[in-house]
Amino acid sequence: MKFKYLIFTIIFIASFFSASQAFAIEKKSSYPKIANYFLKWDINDKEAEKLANWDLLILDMELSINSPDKIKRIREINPDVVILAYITAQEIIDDVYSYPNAILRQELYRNIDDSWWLRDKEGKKIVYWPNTSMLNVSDGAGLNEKEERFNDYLPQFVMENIQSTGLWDGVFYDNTWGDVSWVDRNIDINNNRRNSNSNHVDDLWSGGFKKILQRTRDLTGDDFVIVGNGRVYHPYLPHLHGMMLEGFPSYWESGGTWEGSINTYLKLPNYTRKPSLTVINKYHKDREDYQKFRFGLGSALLGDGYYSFDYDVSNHTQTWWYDEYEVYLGKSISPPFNLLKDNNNIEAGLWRRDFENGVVIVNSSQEKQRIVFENEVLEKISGTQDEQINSGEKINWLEIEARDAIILLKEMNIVNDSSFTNGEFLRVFDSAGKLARSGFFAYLQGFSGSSQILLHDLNGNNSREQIVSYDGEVKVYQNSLEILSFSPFHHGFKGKISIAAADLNGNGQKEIIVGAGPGGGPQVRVYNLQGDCVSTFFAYDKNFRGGIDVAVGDTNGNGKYEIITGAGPGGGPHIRIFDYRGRELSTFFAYDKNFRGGVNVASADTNLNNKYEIISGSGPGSKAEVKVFNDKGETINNFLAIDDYLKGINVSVFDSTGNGKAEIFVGIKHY
Amino acid sequence: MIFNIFKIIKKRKKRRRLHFILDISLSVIILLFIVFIFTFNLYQPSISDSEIKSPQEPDEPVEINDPLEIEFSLSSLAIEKNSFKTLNLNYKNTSEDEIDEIVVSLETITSGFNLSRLESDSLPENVEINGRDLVIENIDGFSDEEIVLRAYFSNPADPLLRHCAWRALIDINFLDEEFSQEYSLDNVRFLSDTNVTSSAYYHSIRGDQLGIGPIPPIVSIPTSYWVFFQIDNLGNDLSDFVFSGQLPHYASLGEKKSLLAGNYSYNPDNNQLIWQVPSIDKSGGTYRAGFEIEIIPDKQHTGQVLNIIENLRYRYKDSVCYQEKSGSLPNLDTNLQSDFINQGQGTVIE
Repeated sequence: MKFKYLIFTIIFIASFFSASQAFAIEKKSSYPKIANYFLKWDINDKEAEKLANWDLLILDMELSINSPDKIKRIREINPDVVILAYITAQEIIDDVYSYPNAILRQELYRNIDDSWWLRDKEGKKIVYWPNTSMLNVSDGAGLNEKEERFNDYLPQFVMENIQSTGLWDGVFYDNTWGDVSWVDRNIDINNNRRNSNSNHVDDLWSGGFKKILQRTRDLTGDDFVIVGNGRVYHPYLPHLHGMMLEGFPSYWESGGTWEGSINTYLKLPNYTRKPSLTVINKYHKDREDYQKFRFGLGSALLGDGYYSFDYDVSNHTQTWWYDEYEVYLGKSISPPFNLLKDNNNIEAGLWRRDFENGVVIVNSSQEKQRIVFENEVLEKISGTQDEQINSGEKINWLEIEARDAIILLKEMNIVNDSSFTNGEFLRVFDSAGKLARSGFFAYLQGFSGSSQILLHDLNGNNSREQIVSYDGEVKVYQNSLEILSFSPFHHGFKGKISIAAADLNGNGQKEIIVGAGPGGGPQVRVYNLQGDCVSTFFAYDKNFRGGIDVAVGDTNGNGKYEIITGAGPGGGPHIRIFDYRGRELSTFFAYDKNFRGGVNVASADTNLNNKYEIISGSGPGSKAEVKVFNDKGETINNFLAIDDYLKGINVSVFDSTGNGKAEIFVGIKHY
Repeated sequence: MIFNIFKIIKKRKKRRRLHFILDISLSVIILLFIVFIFTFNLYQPSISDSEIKSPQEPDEPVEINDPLEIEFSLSSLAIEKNSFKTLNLNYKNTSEDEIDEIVVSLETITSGFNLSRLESDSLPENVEINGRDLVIENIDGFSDEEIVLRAYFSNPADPLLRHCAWRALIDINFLDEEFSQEYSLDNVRFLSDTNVTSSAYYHSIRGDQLGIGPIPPIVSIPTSYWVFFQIDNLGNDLSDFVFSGQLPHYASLGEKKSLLAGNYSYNPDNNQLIWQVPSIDKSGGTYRAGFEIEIIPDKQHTGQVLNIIENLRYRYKDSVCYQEKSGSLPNLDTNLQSDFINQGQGTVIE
């Protein structure tokens, strides 16, 4: 009875584990999806940390023995990564025992029966890749003492030595060819020292391979990923999650043309298991041939697969990183379409596909093409590698070379969930202080210039209300209708009112937090959505008349929002963090304590550590320095938003791409 | 007959009245004479020795009046800082004798202001300006003159000080006597310090891209530029600021704007763009409007630099000086004078 329970428990845990792995694979829905085909037999910490940046890793199976901790480290850094174990399905290196770090290959080799080698009619082993010998995957191979053929043994090996480690999401069978007669005319597929008819050879070969795939599936279960590599052979696809199209567009695939390969690539998900994990691999010895890199990436983005770019077929050990990999395009929102034709027949042309945050354009034609985007502004990505292409420039037209591609981002022109000054010019930085996007004027028509605006979903209706403060009043608009209005301070106060919003007390309702600007007292007031003041306290000495700036954020990661205040002009650059009731949790100076220009604040998680950082901007009279602090007031980062600018900056934060990391928006009145 | 009798009686009555008046007058004189004699006899003088002076010939009692009539007239218009107030000075010698050494000194009363200098384009030969003084050598008897002066004021340290009280002090010498006069002059009101500017950019001063599209512009491809209108003000509150411009037929107003103050309107029928700010604070602030304007050149524009916006005009009221000011600014074109990155790249290409 106990044994039954134990079995049940194991099955339950195993199914949960499998399900969670499948979930991890499903989870990657944003583009680009990037793969690294990295076949070193052991890896170091540095490589592991770099490899963690990819979404799909094809790593050599020897890492199970040589670097299991590195695989775990990769998963620690990137829990969503999919890791497949590389194994050649039809060959093995000859001098396997001369490699001390080839433990699994030695194990495999040790169990290979002599009748499993693929030979010619004269009994010579067939060689496809130098220093390796081919194995006969067909049922023409002999049986070992356990009455097994190689096509029985290999899946068993995969289950016992790869899947059982728990390190891998699946297996990557290299060279899943549908035929083999092209390797050697004299293949003895039946192991009878006779030359076989090539059709017969290929039939047996493909039948054997299918058996390997089927048996692997049977042994490892539905959720274990199996990906093949080589020329696509349709009968295998129902057993596979995808194929790698190595050397895209390769001469062996679909006629050796771009249109042939892309046609195959786009259709593969229709035939493979789900989720489809097809990979386009492109290689080129010059890592700085960005055009080749882009053309491959752009082609991959026309479909739903992953993209890998490395040295060449003989050396897949690169961690080459490109500007384009940093882009977060979000989900796809259109199929690919040809801008040069009215139909979408797969042929060379000028192709486009749209995503939530951008588009990809691929010129697979033989001529340079010009595109004018009508009523559309797109933005080149901002990078350092091909500065002409990745210039960050906003464009409404484009000239693109033949056999090139480009990723363009949709224009950014608004900040959500963090207040901004209407009409100010905003520069966009990542948390490291790098200019992330083109700047823009944040301006909502219909509201006065210089009013404070916060676009935030206050009532959970999945659309953002407009919270506007101007002339001493705070008003809330929903679909252009005023739904709430209140004057938080005495009626004579017509100055700036800083605004923020969050559910501070965890009652499921958002509150509006306000602070009077220069000329007002340092009073924080919290209003519910009925316009009632539910909390109020002084953030600084109540006689101080420099005003305050307010922000909200879960700075300590406790799941509750805190109120962050920055002292206005005339006071020191004093930042304080309070809980909902006004109890001080932290206090520190953002800049030199003698600086009297004031400090304004914003808060967001800029580094995916599940805590909100505090971002400060210096007021007039000091250089335009942005600082990023943790809740203890320790500086995480600082940078100059603008050179030689002393007129004061305003900071806002917003995750504009949806990748979880907030960008920092620095507002200036003097563009 | 009866009539004659009445006449005789009337004559007699007249004579009798005359005699009566003479009699009364004589009686009053005799009475006054008696009072005088009586008073004289009662008088007993007691003069101390020290008060006794040697007898002198008494002076002839000659009274000399200031013969200079002077008038100042100023226009009621306020002036701009670093500008001048025009002062018309009319003077007249009302006597037959010459007036000498006339000095007209102008001075400010409001602390903070100073009269820095006086200027005039046409002074009579006997008149000269000496610093803040107008020196007239002499004025002939019964003569008059008009002098037009420009009075320059130095700027006070406080930029919000906009009213200056001042006066004129006049010293003259006439028949060896010195006379002084003082005139209060109407306060000088200074217009607000304003600067209205317009500029067009593709890249901002700090290098941020604002415009979109090809530079230089290419036939049939839209290029958008940003034009900015700005008023800087210090001194007086302003009201009813209006800035207008007209877009050429090949240009259109883009969707993007940035107004730090006021509101705008655009009339597509006449392509007129108007920016209005109801009130502008005397102590400064950023009053600026930015608009995206898109041009699509056609083939006939090849080789030309195109205007982005034309007929730029503005007006506003100085609320303190009750004075309306207006002006115009040059057209903004694709050569982008203000844009250091794209300046001069405005010629349309194919």
